Amino acid sequence: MARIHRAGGREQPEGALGRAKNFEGQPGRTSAERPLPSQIFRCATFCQPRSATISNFFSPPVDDDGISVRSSEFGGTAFTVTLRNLISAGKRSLKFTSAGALAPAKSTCPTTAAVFRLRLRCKADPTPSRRSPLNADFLSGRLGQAPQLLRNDGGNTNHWLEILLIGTKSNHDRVGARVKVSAVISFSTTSDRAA
Amino acid sequence: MSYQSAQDPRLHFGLGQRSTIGAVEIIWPSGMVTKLSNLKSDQIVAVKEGTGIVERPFPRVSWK
Repeated sequence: MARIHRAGGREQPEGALGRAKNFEGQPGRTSAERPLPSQIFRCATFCQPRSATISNFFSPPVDDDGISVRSSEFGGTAFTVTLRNLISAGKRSLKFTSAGALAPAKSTCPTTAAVFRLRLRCKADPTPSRRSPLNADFLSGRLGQAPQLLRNDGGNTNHWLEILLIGTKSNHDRVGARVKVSAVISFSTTSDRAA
Repeated sequence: MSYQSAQDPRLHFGLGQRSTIGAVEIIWPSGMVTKLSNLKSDQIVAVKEGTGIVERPFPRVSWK
C-alpha cells in the first residue's frame, strides 16, 4: 500500500526542521525508514537567496528516488524543476494524495514570491531497473498557487488484475456482466459489475 | 478513473499481497458464463464473450 506522508505545512514546530536535516545524507536508509519529515517545507523553502545552491532546494523532504531540481530560474517568481524517475506507465497503480501545499514565504523572507509559477518538465527514468519507481514522489504546480508535493513512501507493492470485457457485437453486450475474482489464498470473493 | 465523463471500461481488482488468481467467473448478460483459472496478477486481461481471453495490446508496465 502506498503510504503518503504529509510533507508540508507552515504551522509546524521549529525544531522539526533540524531533525529532518539530520537524516539527510545517510546512505542505506530507505525512505520508508526515515522518520516523518513533515516540517521541512516551512517558510525556509522560499527563503533561499538567489545565490544559494538550488539543488538543495527540495532536498530535505525528497528521497533519492524522487524529485530533483536540475535547473532553476529562481528569479523570485519562477523556477524550473525536473522530475526524474517519474512514473509514466505505472502512474495509474500508485496512490497519491496531497501532502500539503508548500507554504509561501512569510514576510520576513528576503525573496518572498507572492505569485510564483512552476514549470515541470517530466521525463521517465531511462533506467528503471536501477532505481525502483515505486517510491517516486510527485510535485505538482498550479499557476499562481503553492505547489504541492505528493510524497510516496513505501511504494505500492500490492497486486492487481484488470479485466476488460468485450461483447460479441458491441460494448453494449458487456453492460451488466458480473465478474467474480477468487484469489488463491483468500476465501473472499470480489465482484464487480461491468459498466 | 474517469476523464470528461468517460470511464475506464476495465474492471480493476485489488489483490493485496496475493500474486495469483485462482478463478475468475464472468456471467454475461446473455447468460453465458466464462470461467478462467490460474491467472497471474498485475496484468490486463481482455475477455470476449464466447471466446475467452483474446489478445489486445495494452501499455506495458515497465517495472514488472
